Amino acid sequence: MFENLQPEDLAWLILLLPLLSAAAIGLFTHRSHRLSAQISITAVVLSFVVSCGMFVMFKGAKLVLPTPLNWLNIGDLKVEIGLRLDPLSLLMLLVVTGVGTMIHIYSYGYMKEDRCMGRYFGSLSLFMFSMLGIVLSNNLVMTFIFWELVGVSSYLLIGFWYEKPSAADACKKAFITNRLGDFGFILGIILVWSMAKSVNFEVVQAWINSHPTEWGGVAAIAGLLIFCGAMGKSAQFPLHVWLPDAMEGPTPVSALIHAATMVAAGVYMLCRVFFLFGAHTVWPDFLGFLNGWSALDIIAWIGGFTALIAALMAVQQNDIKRILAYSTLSQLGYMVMAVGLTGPVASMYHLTTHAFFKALLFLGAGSVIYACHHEQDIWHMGGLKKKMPVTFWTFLLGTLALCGVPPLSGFYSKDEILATASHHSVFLFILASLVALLTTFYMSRLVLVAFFGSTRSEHADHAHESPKVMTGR
Amino acid sequence: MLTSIILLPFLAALVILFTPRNYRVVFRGVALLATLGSLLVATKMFLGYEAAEAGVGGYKFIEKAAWVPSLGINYFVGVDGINVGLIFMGAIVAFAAACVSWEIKTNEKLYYLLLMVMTGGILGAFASLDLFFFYAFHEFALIPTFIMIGLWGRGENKNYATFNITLYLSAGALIALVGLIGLYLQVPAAQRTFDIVALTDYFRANPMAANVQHFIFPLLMFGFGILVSLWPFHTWAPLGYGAAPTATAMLHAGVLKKFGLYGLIRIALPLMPEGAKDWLNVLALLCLGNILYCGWVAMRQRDLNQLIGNSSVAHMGFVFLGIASLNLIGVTGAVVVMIAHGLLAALTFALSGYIRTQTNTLNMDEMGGLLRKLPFIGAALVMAMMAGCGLPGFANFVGELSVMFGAWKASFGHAKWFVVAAAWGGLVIGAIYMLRAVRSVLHGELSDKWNSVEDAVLWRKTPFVLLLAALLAFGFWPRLLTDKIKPSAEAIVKMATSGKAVALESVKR
Amino acid sequence: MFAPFGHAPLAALVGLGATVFGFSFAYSLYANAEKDPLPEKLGLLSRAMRDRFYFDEIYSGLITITHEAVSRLADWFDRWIIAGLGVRGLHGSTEIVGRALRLVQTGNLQTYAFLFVAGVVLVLLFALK
Repeated sequence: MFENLQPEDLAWLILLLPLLSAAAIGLFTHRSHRLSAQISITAVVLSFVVSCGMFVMFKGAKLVLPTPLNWLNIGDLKVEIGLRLDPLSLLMLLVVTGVGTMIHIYSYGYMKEDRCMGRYFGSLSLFMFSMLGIVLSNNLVMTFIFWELVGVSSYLLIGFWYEKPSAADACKKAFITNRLGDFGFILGIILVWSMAKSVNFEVVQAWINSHPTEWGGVAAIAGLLIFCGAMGKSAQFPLHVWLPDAMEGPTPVSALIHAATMVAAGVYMLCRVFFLFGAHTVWPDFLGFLNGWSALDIIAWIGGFTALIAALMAVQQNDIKRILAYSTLSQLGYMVMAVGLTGPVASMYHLTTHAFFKALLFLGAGSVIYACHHEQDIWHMGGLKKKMPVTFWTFLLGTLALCGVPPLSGFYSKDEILATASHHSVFLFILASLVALLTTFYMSRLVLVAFFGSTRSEHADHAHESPKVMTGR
Repeated sequence: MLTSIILLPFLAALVILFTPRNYRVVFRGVALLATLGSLLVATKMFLGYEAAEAGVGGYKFIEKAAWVPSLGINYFVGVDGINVGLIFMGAIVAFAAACVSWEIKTNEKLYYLLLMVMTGGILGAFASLDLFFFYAFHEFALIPTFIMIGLWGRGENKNYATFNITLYLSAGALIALVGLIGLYLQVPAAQRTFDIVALTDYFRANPMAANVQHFIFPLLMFGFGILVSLWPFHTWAPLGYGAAPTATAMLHAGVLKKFGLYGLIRIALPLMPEGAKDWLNVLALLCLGNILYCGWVAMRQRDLNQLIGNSSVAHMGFVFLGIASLNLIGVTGAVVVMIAHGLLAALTFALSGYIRTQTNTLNMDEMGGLLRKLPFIGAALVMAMMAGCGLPGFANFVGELSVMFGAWKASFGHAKWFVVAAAWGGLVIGAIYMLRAVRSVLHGELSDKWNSVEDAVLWRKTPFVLLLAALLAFGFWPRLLTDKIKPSAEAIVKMATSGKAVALESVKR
Repeated sequence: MFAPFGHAPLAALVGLGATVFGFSFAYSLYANAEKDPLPEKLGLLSRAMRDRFYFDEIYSGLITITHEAVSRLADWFDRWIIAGLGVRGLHGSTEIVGRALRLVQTGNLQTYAFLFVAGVVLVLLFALK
């Protein structure tokens, strides 16, 4: 069985380690807090190390396919569980395992006093497994499988404090809203399969390239259906309503899942199936009213609209985590818009930088919340700059990156998107600039109110810096 | 091998019959041992299936003995890819059902006696390749079901439920019987046989007249359909399962109910391709009633058992859709759903039965926050609910996915819209009611009145662990099932779609 | 570092301008503010922004008039038409139901079961003749 092992088959380890960790915690160690945390952290660190190794080994390669498993094989329906290493997935691997490692370590401090820490780390490992499955997947059905698993691990983590009715409602809402998107997703997959007789990205792409005209319309419909799945996970209008509520989960979860990785999965997948939109779109008769619009136009406008309304909503929120959540929504809209404007590269660039600075902002917010004894209203904070300097400076750095201040990464990635927009659509360019303005406005409001001025509550008055494992001092 | 799987429960029934009524430990011990024995042999058979030698008709592990030669009735058992998984699943559920029977405290002798007869009947029905035994075993299993609901049932609707389920299932069984007799009479007197393999061969060589098929097929379709709670003949199911003792609900909803589906796949489809062509459109339409309508009904239930019962009816719609699509992917998917749903229904009814022993109610409005008190049972219930709304990793997903892919290729009218509806029912409606149940039962604040609720102790976890493990194993590695099912399903689909060609040939002749 | 200004000067300048303006607005409103001045200035718009433009309310209303309504209807139909009329109606009168129920209650199900099997055997024998 192992005689034909190639170096790239090591990539399986990236996927298997978190699975083993989740299984071990679920079956044996969930009662022991320390041990569960150690297992989970070890698994994600090792995944990160292997991912770095893969990145170094294959960063020049165009496409590497480790040995796949033949998972299901009935007639025409052939589904592999197979990995795919290309520049896109290698980049995403680094983002997911990198941010994941940081947040696992941070969680160890943040969740220390929770009586269910074992369950927490078990769910976190399950999430890492599912997310890495999406990243590495080489076909649509496998993506769907892990897509659903990501949904369920997010459900478990949002509802981690299930005794709180708001958390219990939020996790239900998140899952069902995502399911609405997945409904389109699965139909899109079936449509692709019935067209190209395969669900493998490589095969489907080749097939579309060889039949560009006659199947262009079907491919575009399939693409839009698959985009429904992305609308669910990446919380695009009209399925955006679950993401702000998802902030009921523990803050590190918000940082990892609902800011950096899972919500980016939709954007990642759009880049993955971007070839579906390559052919020029001829709509069938019953969609005749769409003539003059390509599938990508629709995606771009949905993304742009989401970016705008979410930014407007963020302006009038008072809960520190909700402001960040709406900001995430808005930035995701930005990325989706970039894909729609035929700029998947710009989109992935912004996804990467956003993952890091938004996770940083959430961790900063978590540190503030922890210090203020779970006070989340920014108007009950104030003057925190003096009380918690490390948190303040890191938070400020994240804010500047999000606002697009050079020379921080956010400036460059946002600039790429603005440049793409300026080449394609004047309206969307103006809209994107407006969103950029609003972004700076609400983030400045957050920082000015929470960290400057006078302390406005007792909790904020007694706040002090968080433990080292969270700040890294 | 098959004989010992079937015989062990019947032997146990005999032992229980001759044991004095106050030896309750013996009843329980014998029942557990017998079902465990069946399960072990069934496991050996399931794992050794590929390697076993195929006999007549491609069946394996064949055992045959003459019974009433003058009527051509033989004891004839054997398995192919379709029933090997069903028998394995049945043996798992039977053992789990014996395990959860600790909740029965009255008249245990009769209870375990009936439980063993029911188990033996179920396993026998799925193993039989002789029409007479096929039907008789089913009756052996059905009648204890009625009695058990009548005597050990619960709830205020118990009597009405018993009456309802008896009426419906007897009617269904009788209609199917009329169909089977009609089928039997289609063979010229000299060649008449109850042997399913011989019957199949005969009708392959001499297709039945199309107009006769047109009459007999619906008899089987509705007769078997009623046994499987085909819409609109489904109301007995949630009602009956709501009132039934846990083990009975597990065995019936999990295994015995699949008899009708098995009959459709094994007998109706291959023997009457013309009838199938005409009537499967109707079946496809009715299955929407299961998938959508019963899903909507499930959304409104406030009693956990009623919800599970309705969701179980809804899942049957996927099997019907797979059968109606009449292609390899659809039929294979249908069989996978049958097996997966059997394990899942048993699991959910076992869980709700456990919760009822702790809370004395299944009204979801009164519950809440139970996860705190029931970490194991609660986690198992979350997993079961997730499996029920088609989460990958559980066997149900594989089946439902294949059915949707298969139905997309089906030839009946507007097949693609049926897939849209099935996806809506499975992905969206299923998620809504399953998650609502989790929200009301497990999440939220714990009321003080549930302070005495206790989680399952180690040995009571056995049935749940076993059922979950099977669901996960088939979900992670579906080829354990599909590789076995595929060749057999292919043969059946080939016969069932040969309708047109054969009919033309017979016209020429 | 200044590459963006080279290849897409418009985008870079507009992006930077947006940042500067955004910060200036925020600073003028929120430096040392004790409470949010915007609700007074924007009125209803601020309220709509705070309440997420009422999407959640709209959706829950939509769900109530679609899925919930259909689900209510299906449940009603199931209880009163299919189960009610179908079973009881088919049977003629509730009186017969009552009798059958009594049969069950007296523990005479075994008798019933026996009769059922006997009937099946009779049909079979008749058919085979």
